[in-house]
Amino acid sequence: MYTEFTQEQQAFRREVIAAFQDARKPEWLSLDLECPEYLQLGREMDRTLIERGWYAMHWPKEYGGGGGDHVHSAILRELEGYFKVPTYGGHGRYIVGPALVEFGTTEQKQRYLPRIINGELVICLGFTEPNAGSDLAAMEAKAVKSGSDFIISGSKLYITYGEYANSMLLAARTDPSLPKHKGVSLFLVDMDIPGITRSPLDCLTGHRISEVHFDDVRIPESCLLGTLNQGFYHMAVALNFERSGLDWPARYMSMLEDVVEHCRAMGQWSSSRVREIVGNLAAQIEAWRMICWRVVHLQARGQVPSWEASLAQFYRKDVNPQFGRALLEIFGADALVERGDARALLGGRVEWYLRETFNNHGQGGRFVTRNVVARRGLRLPGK
Amino acid sequence: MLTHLDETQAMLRDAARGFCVEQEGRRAAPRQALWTALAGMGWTGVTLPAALGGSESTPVEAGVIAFEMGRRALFTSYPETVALGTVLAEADTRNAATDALLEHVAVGEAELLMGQREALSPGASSEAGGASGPLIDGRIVLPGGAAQAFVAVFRDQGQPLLLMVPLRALPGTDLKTTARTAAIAVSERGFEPDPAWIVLKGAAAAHAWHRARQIVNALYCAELVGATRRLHEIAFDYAMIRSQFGHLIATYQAVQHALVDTFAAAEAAELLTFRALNVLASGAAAEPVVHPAVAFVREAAWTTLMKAYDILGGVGFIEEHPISLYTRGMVPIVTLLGSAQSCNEAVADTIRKGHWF
Repeated sequence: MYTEFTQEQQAFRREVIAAFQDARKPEWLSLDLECPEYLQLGREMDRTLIERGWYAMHWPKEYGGGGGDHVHSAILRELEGYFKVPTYGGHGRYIVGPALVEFGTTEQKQRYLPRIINGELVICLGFTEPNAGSDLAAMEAKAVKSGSDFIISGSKLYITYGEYANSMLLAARTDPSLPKHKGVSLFLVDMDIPGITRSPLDCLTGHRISEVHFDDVRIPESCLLGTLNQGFYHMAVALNFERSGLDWPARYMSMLEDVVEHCRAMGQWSSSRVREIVGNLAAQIEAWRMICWRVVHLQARGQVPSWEASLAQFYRKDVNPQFGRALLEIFGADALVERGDARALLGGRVEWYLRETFNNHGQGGRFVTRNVVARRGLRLPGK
Repeated sequence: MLTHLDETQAMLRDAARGFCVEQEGRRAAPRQALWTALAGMGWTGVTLPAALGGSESTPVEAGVIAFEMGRRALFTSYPETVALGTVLAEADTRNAATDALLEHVAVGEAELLMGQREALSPGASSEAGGASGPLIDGRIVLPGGAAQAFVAVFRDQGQPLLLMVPLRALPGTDLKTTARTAAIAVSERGFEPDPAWIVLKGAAAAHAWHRARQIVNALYCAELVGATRRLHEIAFDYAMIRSQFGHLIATYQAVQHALVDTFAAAEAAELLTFRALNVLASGAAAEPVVHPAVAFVREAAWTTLMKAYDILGGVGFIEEHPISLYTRGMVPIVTLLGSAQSCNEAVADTIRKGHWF
């Protein structure tokens, strides 16, 4: 455990643990994250968090948040990961809400923030495109000014929550004459506007992500978030709000503990090889966790993490592929048995994590993350 | 970047950094001069009580100093002296001889060594839990190479004894000294320990030894992290001036990724190390934080060393290049921390469902 919690923070941590232990259901371990049953559980748990005032506790009180600092929010988030608390609300809590607080107009804050907090608004991020993945600044989706409106056209790809979100934080090119990372703006778009088409795609892990098409979609100027043509920079800051990512090392450590318990029960723990694999992973997860906590403490001091957040991503991208490989080394072919079969290990979660290990591209894969740290952290030169 | 340091610790870091830069320039001076200078700063007795001439600080402050010494490749028996000094000073039953020795430690007239199991001889018996018998018997690796006493745990008919053994009491032993370690082979003779050497017995001896091992391992980590930081800087600086194929090699993605790997390793290694030192300073159970630090730092140090050689190419293999000093200092520490397998297994053994609570 991190060593610098205050007594009040420790008390809060205990309160959250007790609440999650009390609310926990066996179904939480069902990891097909966007299956209907899981989403229903997420809706229920979101309501519990909202009732306790924990849902947006890191937002300022004046916007309906809990007024808690980043450390409280991180404590909550880490434990959500550890207990595998299901959630439904998309990116509103951790990315769009804080971005609205930072860049939004008074009207936008009044319109959106209460609806995020009450769970009404489910927000997806519309950044990636068919021809703009790692090179996000190459995006082609356009927002053309038309009177007091903008006309959106183009496609967004691999959109998590895209199938059911009712709002999108959209990045689109607003000035093609400017250098490519300077002519982009952000918009908050209602997803029920005519001209928007969603095409769900099934993923290896059972998620459904979507391609979202914009066919001359007209939105009012008031949807612009932040400064015109500054969207690329706003986007970087918005993503950094989320990038401590403390729920992930906690989620992996929790699963690793379950693996250890299973190995003990099945007599596999006497294997030196198994213990070596588990210990190696655990040490790396702890390293990752410390890097995440440093991001939180920077935020708590009012600083905006840059490469520090990318370093948290670096560790996520390095640990994730090792995790599935380790499960395969420990359990062999038994790891392949899927949920639904009585022989499936840990109710099929071992097999699921095996597939999850290939889900390593979001927000940039291993090479992209290293490039970001090289430029932002080490300031190494380009050619 | 050292994190989680308070204002006083940050001042100590700055002082230690200046001291080590100065000492780096005097590398040709006799080794004892460095130790005397360390004592002059009050750092050899950093954790000892004021009554024994110490500064009454914690393993965190010792870690700050060890980090800066590792950064400048000033490898000594500092970790062992501090770790053993700490637990000897904490012992309720320490005798006059122990106090006298600790006073010598504080003024730089004595170094302490830690009898550790010979890494290549798993059957050696100096560890608690090793072979029983009243005689000191076995091969013992003594990190350091210049000291007045070593401390180790032996078993006497099953009872652990923490002994402080004056090296002068071992005439004729086969003392093989390298840059970092001295291996004492006493297995052919064996001898009965003098009762005066006994500092602790039974559970107290086992507990003290365990704590000393944790502190020394955390301080080894601090040294390695400091060295790892410097290796990264050396490789980085070289990549920024070395051109090949018409470009600085720092512009090549392969080199950039190697530098990111060493940077990332050092960042996490430092956080884990100072978390471990903080927990050790608090007196709380430290295994769950010391073991991950050891396993991770050991790997990070080795990886960084290898990647630094990759980037430096042939120039790094020249003996007079600074990386040689780091290699000669770091490799023995990596060895003393144990094998990768044993380090990882130690981490695994701390995992229990819910331990994060």
